[in-house]
Parts: sequence; C-alpha cells; structure tokens
Amino acid sequence: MGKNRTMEPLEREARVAGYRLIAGIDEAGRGPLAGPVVAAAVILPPDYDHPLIDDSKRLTARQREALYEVIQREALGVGVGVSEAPLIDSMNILQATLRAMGEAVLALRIRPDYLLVDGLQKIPLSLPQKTLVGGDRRSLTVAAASIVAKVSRDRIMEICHRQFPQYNFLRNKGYGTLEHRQAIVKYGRCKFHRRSFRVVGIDDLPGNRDLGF
Amino acid sequence: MSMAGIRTGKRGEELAAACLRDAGYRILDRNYRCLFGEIDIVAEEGESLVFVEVKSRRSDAYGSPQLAVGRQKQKKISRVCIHYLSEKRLHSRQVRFDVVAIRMTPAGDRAELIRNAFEFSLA
Repeated sequence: MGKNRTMEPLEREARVAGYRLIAGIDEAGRGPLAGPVVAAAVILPPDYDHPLIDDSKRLTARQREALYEVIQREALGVGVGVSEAPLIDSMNILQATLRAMGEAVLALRIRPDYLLVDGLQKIPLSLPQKTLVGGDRRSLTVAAASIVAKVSRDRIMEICHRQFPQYNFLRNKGYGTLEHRQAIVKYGRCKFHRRSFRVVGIDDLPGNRDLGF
Repeated sequence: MSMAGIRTGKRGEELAAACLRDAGYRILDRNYRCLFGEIDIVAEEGESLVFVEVKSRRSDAYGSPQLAVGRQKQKKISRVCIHYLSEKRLHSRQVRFDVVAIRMTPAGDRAELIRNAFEFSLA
C-alpha cells in the first residue's frame, strides 16, 4: 500500500459525523490448527499518521514488531481479546472471533464511541460501528489493530511453544505447515489444538484416532 | 467474605510478598486488576515474569491450604496475564505461574513457594 492518505477517509468520515474516539478492530489467527484467535482494538489520536502502518500481512515480522511498540506508545488506547481453542471448538471460529473482538473493545482503558471493524459482521456490543471488508487495507486504525493482534498472537504462540516444543509453534504459529501436520501424526494433538478443525492428511484417513494429550 | 477472612487474605499477601522477596524475586505489581480478573502479585525472577497466586489459610479452618489452583482459575489467571502483558507492553518476556501457600497458625506462619505451579492455560 502506498500513501496513508488513502487510509484516512473512514476515520475522517466518522469524525465529521461527530465521533471522537474511533477504535479500529481486527483479528489474527482464524486459520491455524492450534492456538487462540486474537483480536485487537486500537484508538489512535486524531489526524494521526504513520507512513509504515499497513495491513499486518504486508509487513515483515520485524516491521510488525517495531510498529507494535510505536502503536502501544502513541495510541490513545490498545486492547486485546483472546478466544482459546476449546472456545473455538464449542462455538465455531466466527463466533469465537466476534467474542475476542468484544473482549478487545472492553479491554480498552478508554471507551470508544465508534468502531471500525474488519470483516463482515458487527460485534455484539451496543456501540455504533461500521464493518469493512479488507479493513486493514482501508483504514489506518484497523491496520494498527491488525498489527497488534498479530504480534500479540505470535507472543502467545511462543508461550505455547515452550509447553509443547514438538509442534514448532514458534515457527508455524499454529498454522498447518507440513512440519506441524507431521508432528500431529507423530505426537497427536495437544491442549492448544482446535479439535474441530480438520487437518489435511490426517482427518481424512479412515479409522483415524486422536491420540490427544 | 467475613472481616476475619479479609484480614487473613491481606496478611497472607504481605507474608507472600516477603517470602518472594526473600527468594530473590523483584515485585512489580500487587493486586493487578482488569476487567477480566485479578492477579495477586506480579514479579520478576531472572528472565521470567512471574504471576503469583497467593493462597492463605488459618490452620484451624478447613485443613491446610489447597495447593492446587483449579482449572477455571488457571484459565482466568492466564487471561489476566495476557491483558497484563499487553497493557505493560511486556510481550517478549517468558512467563511463569507460581503459587505461594500461606499457613497461619498460633505457633507461627509458614509460607511455601511453588514455582511453575501450573502452566499457561488459555490457547
């Protein structure tokens, strides 16, 4: 993405409508086989700009880490929400994601008056909000939230990695890489795996048994 | 909770803090509270950030303090830990969960420190 000028219209539109504390909401970790889905809510100062804040998927890990620090320092508010694997299994990934987003908003130390939410579904909170498909490419605040969500989730996967190093969560962040799937075949699943998620090459085998621990 | 219970708890936390300091921990926060719960003591030991649950009992009530932290409580503490890391921007630290069990008897008080009493339980 080029210049941030293209990422401000949504925030400006909300300000024109009278809103002052606009929170961008995004998530990380919908697709992996293991670990939580993590959401973040970020409120940036009015007319804030940063040339490097962009959708987290377009940044290198190093850029994300650096921008995470910048955002934490300069934002008016940062909140995170976590929906863990058992929760994902019991309520499906979409509901779990919305729940995590709600937690992220509630975790903010200052209360927003407007939400810009990445995706198609509104969060079940009674706050004015706008959903944005590809929000992390269209809104600076949502892009900032995507960075916080990703870095926060990476850190949680590091903690998981120390408990169960055999899956190499440090490298794969719970995603279904070949190495990860091979480890599941060898060791079974652990408490951080989403049992409701089908694993290619394992769950399609007849007579498969979950060794789980 | 009765007034006696509250006093036991407060005194227990003081004893626990002293126990941790004696063991070389550096205390960072006490009674950290957020919307999702609270943590009795947050401390540093070496490279690790330690979240400590304090369990106090008077000896004449209900036997010795339960050393085990129940599953729900583990999840709750794990969740508060994530919010603490986010708020204090300490994400890159190694985390650990300890318990200090305090037993108060007429003959004196005893503190027992259990390192790594449980593991992070929310993911």
